[in-house]
Amino acid sequence: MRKLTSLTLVLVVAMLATAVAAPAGAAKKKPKKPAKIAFTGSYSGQASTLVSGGTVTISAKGTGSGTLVGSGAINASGTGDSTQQPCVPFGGTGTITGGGGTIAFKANPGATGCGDEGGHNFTVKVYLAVTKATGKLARAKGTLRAIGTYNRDDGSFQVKLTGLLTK
Amino acid sequence: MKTILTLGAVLAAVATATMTASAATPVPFPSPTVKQVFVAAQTVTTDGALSSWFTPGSPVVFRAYAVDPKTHQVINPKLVRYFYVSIPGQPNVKLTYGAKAPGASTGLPWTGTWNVPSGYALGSVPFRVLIQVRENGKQLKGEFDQMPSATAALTISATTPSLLTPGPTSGDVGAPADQALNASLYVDTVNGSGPVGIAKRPVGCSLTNVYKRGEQVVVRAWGADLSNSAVLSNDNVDSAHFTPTGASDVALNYGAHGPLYFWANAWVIPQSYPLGTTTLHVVFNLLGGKTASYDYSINVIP
Repeated sequence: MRKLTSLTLVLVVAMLATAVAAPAGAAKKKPKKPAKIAFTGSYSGQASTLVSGGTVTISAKGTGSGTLVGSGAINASGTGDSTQQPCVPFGGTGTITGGGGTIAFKANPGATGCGDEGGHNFTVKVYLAVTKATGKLARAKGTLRAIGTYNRDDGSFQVKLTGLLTK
Repeated sequence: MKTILTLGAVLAAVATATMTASAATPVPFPSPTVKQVFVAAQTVTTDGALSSWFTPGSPVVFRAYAVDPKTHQVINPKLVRYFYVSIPGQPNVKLTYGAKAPGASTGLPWTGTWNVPSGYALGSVPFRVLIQVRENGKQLKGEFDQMPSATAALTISATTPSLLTPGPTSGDVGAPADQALNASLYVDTVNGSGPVGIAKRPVGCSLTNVYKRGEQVVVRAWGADLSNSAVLSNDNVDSAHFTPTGASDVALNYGAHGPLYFWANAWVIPQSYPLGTTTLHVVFNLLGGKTASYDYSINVIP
């Protein structure tokens, strides 16, 4: 009987010790606060816009640099509705690659390329949802705002990207 | 080695500049920034009908307003040292304050009339509107130049396209005059070349604020962020639109018009749209959350 009492006492002390120790252990496992990364990038290159019927097939390749990914390339492709003018809505996907990693993105609805009266010079505005990121931006999520211009006469484009990513 | 690296860097810079130059770097109208007094002006008839075409011998009413870059408010008339229109080869046309004057409106209350001399050279008139204000001992200046469009610029012609009248009875409501503004805005309208169910006007894209149902109202706008003087562009605007009373929003797009960039889009007046003066509520949502607005009036006639 005395042994049993001692055993009970030991168990109670052990349980108390565990209870006291638990919060400290739990504190160590607190989820990390997401890091915010102000991303800026600037790219330029060549794009093609092939119109067939009411659909325009878009392909763009350029070079430049972006925060953490460093110097590298941008590649994108998609389609637009050329029956709508002067602003052609479009969608598509693409990647930004560099020594520091890659960002894969998808154009959110609402992306437009607005042409001048002659359809020569376009302003491009699109919000890009980051679908996957690797390297220094691994697991980063968020949306990038891309604004730029496209000259349909010579195919040149330039685009600036800004946005707050979290990882 | 250092020389080679430097040369390489220079060549790379030149190559980059060459590559990007053709990609139409946006050149905002009228300039990348408006650092001093913002001035907006229009040419109208004595009854307030917006027009860019006048015959020799007819009166051109210039009407204008200005925004103080310090207080971010519409200019206090008491601070104005001078406000006039400069016309090549002509005496200056002084602008006086008064929203009830012929051709004036609540939004553009400064007016002056130029009676086009009968022998005045035909063609476009590259006028400028100049202002100087004195505030806290400092002199601030401002200037207005017309938007880059041949048919919307003031033109003296022996034969002008028939003008639709009268102008909107209330005139432009304009920017709020009694509060600090986030951005100063210029708004005007021209006739679009894509009317529906009604004939095109003889000259497209000329200034007008009087329309028939089925005609295309093209809204043109530009402005400047008063917090940093930057002209509004895709760089600092999240979205922009105008809303005709009783109709849906129409997005304003920032785009190229000739070599310069500004905001524009068109709206076709439905056949069922009420006649009379109506308002186009113009809104710019700036990046960062601030908003700027301007109420613009047009007259819809049978």
